[in-house]
Amino acid sequence: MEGAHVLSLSDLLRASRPLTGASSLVSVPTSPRPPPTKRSRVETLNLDHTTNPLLFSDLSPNPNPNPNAFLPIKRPVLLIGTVDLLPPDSDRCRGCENHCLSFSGGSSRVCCYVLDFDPEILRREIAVLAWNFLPFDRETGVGGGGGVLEVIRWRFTGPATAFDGGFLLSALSIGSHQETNSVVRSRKIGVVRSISLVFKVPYATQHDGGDSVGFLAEILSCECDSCSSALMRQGTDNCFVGGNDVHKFTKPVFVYFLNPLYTWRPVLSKMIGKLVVLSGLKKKLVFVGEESYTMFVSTGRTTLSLRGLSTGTLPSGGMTAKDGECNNSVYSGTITGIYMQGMVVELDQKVFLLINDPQLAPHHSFRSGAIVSVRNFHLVRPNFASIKMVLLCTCVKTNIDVESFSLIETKCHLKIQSKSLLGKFINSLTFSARFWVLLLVSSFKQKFQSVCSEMEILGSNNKEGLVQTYASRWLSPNDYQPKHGIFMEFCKHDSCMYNSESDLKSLKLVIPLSNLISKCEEIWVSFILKRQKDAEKGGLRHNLSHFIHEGTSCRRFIRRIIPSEDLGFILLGSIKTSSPSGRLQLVDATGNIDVVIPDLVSNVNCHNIYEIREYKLVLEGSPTQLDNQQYDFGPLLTCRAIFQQFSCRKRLNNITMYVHFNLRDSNCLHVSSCAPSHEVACVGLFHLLLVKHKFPSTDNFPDDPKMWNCSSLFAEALVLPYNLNFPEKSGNIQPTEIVQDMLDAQKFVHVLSRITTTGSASNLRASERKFCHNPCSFSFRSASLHGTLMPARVHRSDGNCFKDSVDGQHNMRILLEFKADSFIYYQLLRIGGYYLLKCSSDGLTCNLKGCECFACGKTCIDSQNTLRSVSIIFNGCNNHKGSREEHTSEVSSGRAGEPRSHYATELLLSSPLEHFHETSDFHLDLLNEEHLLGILPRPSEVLSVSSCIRMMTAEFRTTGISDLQGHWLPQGDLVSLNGNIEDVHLNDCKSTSFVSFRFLTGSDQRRISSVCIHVADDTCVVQISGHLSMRACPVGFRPGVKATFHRVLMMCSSSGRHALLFTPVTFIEINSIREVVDEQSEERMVLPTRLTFPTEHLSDTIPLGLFLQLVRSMDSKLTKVRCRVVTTQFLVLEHCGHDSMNSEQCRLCSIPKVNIPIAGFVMDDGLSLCCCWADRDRAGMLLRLQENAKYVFSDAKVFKGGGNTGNLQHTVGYHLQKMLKKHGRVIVKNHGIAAELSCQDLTFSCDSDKHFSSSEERLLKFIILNACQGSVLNIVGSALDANTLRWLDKELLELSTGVQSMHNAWVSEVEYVDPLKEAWTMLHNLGIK
Amino acid sequence: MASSAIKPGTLVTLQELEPSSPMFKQGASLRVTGKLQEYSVETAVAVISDSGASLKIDTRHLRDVVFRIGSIYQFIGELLIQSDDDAILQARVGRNVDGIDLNLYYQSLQLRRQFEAEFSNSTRT
Repeated sequence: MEGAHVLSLSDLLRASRPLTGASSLVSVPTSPRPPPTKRSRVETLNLDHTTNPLLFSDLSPNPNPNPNAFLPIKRPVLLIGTVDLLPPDSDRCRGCENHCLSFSGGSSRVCCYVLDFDPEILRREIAVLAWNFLPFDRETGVGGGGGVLEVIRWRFTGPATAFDGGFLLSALSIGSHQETNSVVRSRKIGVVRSISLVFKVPYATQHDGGDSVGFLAEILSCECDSCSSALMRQGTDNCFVGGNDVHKFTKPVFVYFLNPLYTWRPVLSKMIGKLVVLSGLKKKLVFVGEESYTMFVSTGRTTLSLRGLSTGTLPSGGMTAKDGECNNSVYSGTITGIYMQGMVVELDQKVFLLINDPQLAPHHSFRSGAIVSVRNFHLVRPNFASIKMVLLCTCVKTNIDVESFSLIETKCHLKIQSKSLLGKFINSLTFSARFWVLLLVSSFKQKFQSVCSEMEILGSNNKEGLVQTYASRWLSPNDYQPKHGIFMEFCKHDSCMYNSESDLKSLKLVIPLSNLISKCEEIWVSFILKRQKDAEKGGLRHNLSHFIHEGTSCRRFIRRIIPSEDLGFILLGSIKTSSPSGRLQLVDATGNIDVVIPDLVSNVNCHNIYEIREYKLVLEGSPTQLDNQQYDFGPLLTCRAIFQQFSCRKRLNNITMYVHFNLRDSNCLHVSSCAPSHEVACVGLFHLLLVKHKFPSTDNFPDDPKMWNCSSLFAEALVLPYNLNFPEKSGNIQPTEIVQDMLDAQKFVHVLSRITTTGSASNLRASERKFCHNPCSFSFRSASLHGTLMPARVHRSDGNCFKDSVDGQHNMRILLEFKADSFIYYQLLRIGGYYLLKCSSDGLTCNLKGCECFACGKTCIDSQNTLRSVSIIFNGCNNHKGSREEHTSEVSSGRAGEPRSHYATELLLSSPLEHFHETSDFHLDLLNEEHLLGILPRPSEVLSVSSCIRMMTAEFRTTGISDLQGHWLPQGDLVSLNGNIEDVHLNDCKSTSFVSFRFLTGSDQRRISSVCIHVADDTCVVQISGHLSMRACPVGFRPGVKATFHRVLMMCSSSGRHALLFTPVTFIEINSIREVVDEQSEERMVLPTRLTFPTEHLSDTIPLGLFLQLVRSMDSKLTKVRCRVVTTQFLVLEHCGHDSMNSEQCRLCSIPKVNIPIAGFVMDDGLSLCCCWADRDRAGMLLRLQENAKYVFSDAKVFKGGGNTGNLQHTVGYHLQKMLKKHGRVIVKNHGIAAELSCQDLTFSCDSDKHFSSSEERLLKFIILNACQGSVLNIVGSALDANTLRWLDKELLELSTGVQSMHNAWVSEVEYVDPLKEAWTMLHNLGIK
Repeated sequence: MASSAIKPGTLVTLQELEPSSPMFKQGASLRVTGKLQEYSVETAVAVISDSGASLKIDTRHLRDVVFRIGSIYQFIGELLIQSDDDAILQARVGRNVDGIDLNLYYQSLQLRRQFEAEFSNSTRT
């Protein structure tokens, strides 16, 4: 203390920055308040910084590194002054009267907050030994200058005087003249339980007509005899005797401290839990409205005195409250965050303090880092959004006290609540609902700050904002809490329904998209880590290395589909198309995510905000090895993250994420004022287009300035030779209007056309009338209109307009170019769909050749010139039913044959064209079906994999191999193909080896990769290879999807192999996706068959080789090997029911209904052995199941070629079929060692309970021996690829067997050698040469 | 066979036809597009230009092609390089392509070349 400099308040005010000082900088006494000692010698300094720059010299040389921290004064300093109540007429900022005392020194006075409050401190001079000083911000006007002194330690400057138990506070001392002459009878002794904030009410009986300012206090008094008798002894203060144990302070009484005694509130707030004596009270019946309350009212003689008897009944520290209860609950914690202008305060990073009135908190000292204690709060655990949280909710009885100051200056967060509609709305809610709305406010502000103004989001005093509109929609009546007056809430607190918290399960969090993206990454990482953990635990990671060629790696892929129910939050954002890829995205100010909307309609507006409650989140990627410690995502979806507006950034590059939802399940929340109206000008002439193709997004060649102005999205359409005409003057056509019932019906914005016309040809000129022979009904949503379908004369065009001959008709083919503002129409476009294009000409007829719409064979689609989808029906019947014919049946048959269980998690990404009418803008009902059927060209055929293979083989027979010599480009036909993508992998051109599937992950969207895609249906797989631009790959383009490939080139390579090749115009449309959780347990693994080429042609094209050459061929190149069957390595024979076996296939293959899911044969080419695996058909041929049993089972066996029999019942397979019908499944294993495999080590096992007789065993042995004794075969095979390896590995592991350590190959084709034919061929070749 | 000697006209832009270009070869079969700048009835030589580059076209073998200055034409023929790198295309096919979107045309050309290169690489490996 010696040598401490005394600062004056004026010095601090002049410094005008947060300061902290102490009288001693050496040690801090443990005692909170040192015993009063004789005042030390103090050195009064002149702190004029021009002469004695004590304070400022301490500040200036060492600039504070943290501008928000209180600057410590390096020298011992103290303050001398007097603490008193704030004078009633002081110029205080609002809220100070609830918490602040006054500290005056010299001529200055500041607000004051004393940590270790002692009632004796009032009106006595003290030396402040440790303090913080926080000046008010003049700019913001808080406090209007001045500051607050936070007193940490102090002592009296004068000599110590023992507290005499006299009045602590007296109304007389502050000059109260209120009722000083009236009879004052009441006195109360009790424990202060709670106090209200200072409030103002109109006081009806007050003579001056002014308002009454005061606060309420709840005192728990004791009703024991001693207390009652003591109270009767008026005028004696030392009346209260006895210990705590004899008194029961249980009876609540209410005291109303009226003006000017409301200045006592800061003192009373320090008295909570303490025993006080209040005298000079007057018992009154206070009428508030129709309610009356019996309470004690302060008078001009009211005094407050303390008794040394402290109850100490209220515990401190930790949570001591029950859910919903208010009384006696206490929580002490550190402020870790103040959000939403002080309405939400985070304590200890684990609970949230929901403050209903900002004045509750001592706002000067209510800063982050301070330790506060909260008394009398309501403990609420909201149950919404599947996030566990604890809320401490304040009410009129809550008291917040600061226990330790923070040395961080955070700007004054507490703001007086505005009287906006939103503020009133929030106050009318229950605690949980209020908290949810505050979360909404924070989230909305973060998400839509770039789309909407703050007023649009929050509203104003007169108009609801977006938040309130949205919240009102989802809050139930139970979420509203009736408001009562302060007297009612304070005095009849328990009856004010504070305990009723409604069930808020329907309320979900609205999160910023950046948080969603990070949440996706977190889900992905946790999923992968769990897999890793499970794999390590189970030790099941069997090694596939023995199967895999050197230098290749296994392709692995995972897709997870997570429903919104499991996530607990909803998505809000605008639907936009990204440029230049044209992908659909959900966008907010924090980020964007790709979306897939199967029922996208044309009136989606990118300026509107859509709410998506039901959706599926799709995550897909390669399960790369992750380090557990590598990814710490922190609190992503916690309330803290939302309040803090925590912005996340994408960290994982190896996953793709997108959201799938239907527009019908979404709500249009906000219609932007800048959104163009969706008026449909249903007047005039419309061209009818059929979209033939959509071109994938091009990259515009950014290096070439010529291309900068080019669009990146194009489509090709046929202009049908008929126009739709809706004459303007032929009826009462009303302009269309938008009906937005977004709030009432919670539906998507409906566009309703009110057109009440019936078009006719009556107003047309005679020359035009002749064309109008096709009446049609034209419906738009729920309304309809009538017009005419008029023929448009199509002349042979010049070179700019191409012709397409479809069904003998000449339709003009045009290019649709999509401008950047109309990318949404590109997304809407369906290949095979019909669209209307408004003709720019004014006439009622239009010659397509001369029409400006198609000048240069191209039409630009922009926001003015839009396309409207139209479904054409004939007398109410959808035309797609009749015209799709073959390909639809084939496509759908693939689905029909598949077990539905496999597609339990299948998501439809694009609705079938058959359902086009469900999303089309217009329905065009053609009434004259007979005539108009010929108008519509047939849609392009989409092939299934099987039919594609058939076509390839057919082409092979008819046209042979195209001579490509001298040509740069491959030749062939462009086809459309539909099937399941089983595998997608990069095809490294140099080594032609497979590498891990990692494309689509890089940031360079223009990168072009050489890929190979396996597309399968039930029975067959084809490969499509070539170069694909990243932009051509649609969302979800990974394995495990059903996709349609438009304009794939079916070509015949120089090696004679048919191949499907991607071209730059190949458009990929994803039809549906399904979950791929683990590729090892993938049930939908298609039996690895290969292209089926007629064997007679193979002999001409496939080179003859040896097994050694075959297995060394890294690219699974087909090789023909002449060999014989040595024995079987492994056979699984199953009875095949009618359902799972295509009878057509059985008939074609001449094999019985025997399924052979796995078959491994040991083959010998004369040089080496090789284990050849084959599918059912090939295995059947190798087992010679089609041979006549009479020859096989008799010694007089004569074998000629295949030895086929025309009658199935005479075949070997028929006998096998009968046996399998009995046993269901028979497994044949060869336990011989690799070098000496023979038929002697075969074992047989069956699934059935029936006895596997020796005759049956003999039959099987006969069949196998017959296969071994057959003549030499030609097989066409290839090395096992990774896909086959995975399948084989999985199957064999399930059957608890292994693979012999010999070469393995896959048999694609089996050919019985006809020696005679071969001899003739040889002779022929010799003759030629 | 004579027909086999006719090679397809390689698509080139006029800017690419500079002496250092690999396409600038004697006898190279090319397909060029440009706006008609000059046409001499006497010599049947036309001059087309595009983006600052021009090329002379010998149109003596063409029939039924009406030449209008300012229109856009496309020619297929063989390049005849004369002295001082003066080249002329001996057109065997010509047509008016007015209305063609040249930007789009060049975009298609680049895509095609990209495809050719990729296909050529993949078949070589």
